[in-house]
Amino acid sequence: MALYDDLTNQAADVQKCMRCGSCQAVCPVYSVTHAEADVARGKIQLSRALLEGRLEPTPHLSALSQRCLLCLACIDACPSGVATCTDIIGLRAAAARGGGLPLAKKLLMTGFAHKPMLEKGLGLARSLQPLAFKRGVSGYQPRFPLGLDLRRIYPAIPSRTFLSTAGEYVKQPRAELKVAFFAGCMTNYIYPGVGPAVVKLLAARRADVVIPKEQHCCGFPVLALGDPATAREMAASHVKLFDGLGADYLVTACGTCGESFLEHYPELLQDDPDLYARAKALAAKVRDISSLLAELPAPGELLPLPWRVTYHQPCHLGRGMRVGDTPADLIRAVPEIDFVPLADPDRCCGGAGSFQLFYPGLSREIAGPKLKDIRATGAAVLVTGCGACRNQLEGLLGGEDWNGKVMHTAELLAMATP
Amino acid sequence: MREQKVLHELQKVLGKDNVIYRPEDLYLYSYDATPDVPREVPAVAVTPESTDQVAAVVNICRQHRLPIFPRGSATNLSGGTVPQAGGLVLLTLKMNRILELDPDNLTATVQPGVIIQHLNDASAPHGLIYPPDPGTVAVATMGGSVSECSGGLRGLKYGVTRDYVTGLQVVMADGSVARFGGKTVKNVTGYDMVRLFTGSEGTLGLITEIIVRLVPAPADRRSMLASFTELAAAGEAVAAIIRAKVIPATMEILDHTTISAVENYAHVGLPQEAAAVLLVEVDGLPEVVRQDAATVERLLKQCGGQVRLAADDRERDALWAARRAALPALARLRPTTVLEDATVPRSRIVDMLVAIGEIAKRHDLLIGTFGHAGDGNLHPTILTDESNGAEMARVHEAVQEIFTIALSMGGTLSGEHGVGLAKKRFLPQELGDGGVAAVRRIKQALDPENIFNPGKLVPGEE
Repeated sequence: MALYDDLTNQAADVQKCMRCGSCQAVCPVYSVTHAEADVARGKIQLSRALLEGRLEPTPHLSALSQRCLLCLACIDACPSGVATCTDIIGLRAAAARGGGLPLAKKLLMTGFAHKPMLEKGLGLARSLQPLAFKRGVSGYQPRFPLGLDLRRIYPAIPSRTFLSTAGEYVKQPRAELKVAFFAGCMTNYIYPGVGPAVVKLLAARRADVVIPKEQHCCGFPVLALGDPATAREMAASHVKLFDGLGADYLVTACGTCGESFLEHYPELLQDDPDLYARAKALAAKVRDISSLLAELPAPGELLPLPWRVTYHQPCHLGRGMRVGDTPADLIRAVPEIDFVPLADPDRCCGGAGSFQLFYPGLSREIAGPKLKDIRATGAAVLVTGCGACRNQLEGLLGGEDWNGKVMHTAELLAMATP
Repeated sequence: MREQKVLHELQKVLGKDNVIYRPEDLYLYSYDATPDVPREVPAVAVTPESTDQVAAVVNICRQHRLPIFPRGSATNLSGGTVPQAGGLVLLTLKMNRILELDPDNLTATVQPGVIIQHLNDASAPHGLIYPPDPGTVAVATMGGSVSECSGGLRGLKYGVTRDYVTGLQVVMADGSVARFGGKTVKNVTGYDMVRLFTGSEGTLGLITEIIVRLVPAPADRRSMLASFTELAAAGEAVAAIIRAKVIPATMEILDHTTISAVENYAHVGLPQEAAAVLLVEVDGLPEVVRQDAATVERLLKQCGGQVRLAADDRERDALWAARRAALPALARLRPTTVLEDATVPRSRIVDMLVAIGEIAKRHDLLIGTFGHAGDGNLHPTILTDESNGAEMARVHEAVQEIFTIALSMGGTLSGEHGVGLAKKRFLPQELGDGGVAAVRRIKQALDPENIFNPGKLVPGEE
């Protein structure tokens, strides 16, 4: 049985937790709620209780298991080396198998797993957006609560997706390498401008860019909500799709998508030797766009951008793909840019995919220190490398009348590229 | 029926958000960081937000004869916060405000749920520190730390928690609110109730406000690390430093087992063949630090130590990485970590390390020992597996022997972790019948109905 299909696969790891509570120091959710159920130690002990038969997978237990950002901070803080996030996904899967997943999450999960349904849903949402939302300069604000945060801005859903407009094979004269681009949902549906920026940056480095049309959601939202079986099908289809392209690299513009290829696909496919081997080979080619840019020779002089800029490090880029200071260094290298680092750039913004939709109040509180830090830099442009972080920070800062602009690292660098 | 009534009364006083009653949530208040202690699930848990609410909870519990188990971050290692089935867990985490920082009187007044590190963060801009620094400083609460009288790495020079607590507000067993001590350095009005409550492990009353002394942050510090091929040489170095009238802020020792574990885990450049490593830090005024560091370096070398000096903060961090990695490195060797804190007079450190080595061999156990050589407080860390009954039986025997040998050297069962559930049955061994009877009478006088953390610290009639 593969990793998430049976909670007993997590038993040995769960036993490693010595309940020292070190995770309390770094957990963004716990810092707001102080509830044991919200910190890794509590979640690991819930798994232990399920394994020992001391608790049943009730809907309430499932709800508790969902209250985690999967920000990976506790993994680094754990003295015993417990794979907390893996265990929490395992707990969610076990709770979901027990029938504990609420309807809204099931619907969301179905949406991500089925591309036509997701696209129909987004199309419908786009046409209904003006009814439920007030149009502002930077996006929409909800007219009614609808379970959403009235004080934040939600982006207008673009009418055309990135994949519907992008060429499938962008060839360069005298190409020196071939890069496959996995766009991801946030780039494809919400921030389609990131796609052409990535293509431009790669083209400037004499790379042919392959963008297969059949790509879909990376599957992490589905896995994170507790459905490893569907996530496995999504993983298999992507491994088959990208493995055959003969690309030198597979580039992503979102830490979560990158982590899917790097970590979760091999994990999910470990019972299928052929797919597992192909997933591992593919994982070795995966790079975040920032890392790949740093690896390849620079294409020449950059254009100056005389702005004050700061950078927020997405959890799955920093603690996940371990890009380190690379994105910040790339930004600093742009002429005339006034780069002011955040006080705590790695701290989670509280967005965490669908977390901000399901727990808007909590998500806003978690974001509090981050918003303060961003304002303290006096930056006019906030750069980050993840669509979900961007969505969260743009929404919350926009709702606070912040006048700055949020953009993807690739967009900023593309603007500085002649 | 009775439970419904209690819940209703608690909700009325505290508000619905401050009463936890679902079984899934309550299970999570059945443990702390102590291994090998049975889990019992409380009937209810509450998160009061004020002293008045705490007093109201005490009154409700008295009426319904519900025992109260106070809990902060539950990082303690004595089972001190593990409840009994049917009891009430009182969480201090929502009482987490620093009420006052008073740089003129060098004091801070805090609520019990304040995290120790947060107090230090707030003191830093004033050039002040709160010196007690248990390993859990980043997560442990002030309330828990005062109740357990935590020690830490700086005990030798700076003392322990009891040396810093000058005033307490306590909700007593009859629901009244008492104030003991205050901000003044001198206070001899009545019994020293502040010291009685500090380290009382929540058995005498509920601490709702704490006044602590702060001290000026040292202007300078210097760290060095010395490795020894003979354990005895490391012991001689510790003695020589103290004899030279140098009191380092920190003087930590790692034994051979710990050194190999640390090196395998963190690759910090420790010599794998060393019998012991000493990490020494002196702090104070720059001139004093310079002199003390030179003396320490000379003595370490005289005793045969290979010395590495930290030239700057970055190098200091590199040296300290070895000490910080001690527990994580050991903890990863086996599923269960039993961390003891038997303490001996500083001059007996080497004898104690040798004795622990023999105990490990005799019971075929893996024990790594590190700890505070400067104050004689060692952490024999038994690496084992809870699910292995035969091995756990040997662990229990080894623990008993560690206590016996520590006492025979004029030491104590517990330097800083407290008695709680884990060491209660050993108490007569150290205090004798007369001592235990006195402890019991204090408990009966202040908590006649035994509602505060029953079953902890005080040996019962069993």
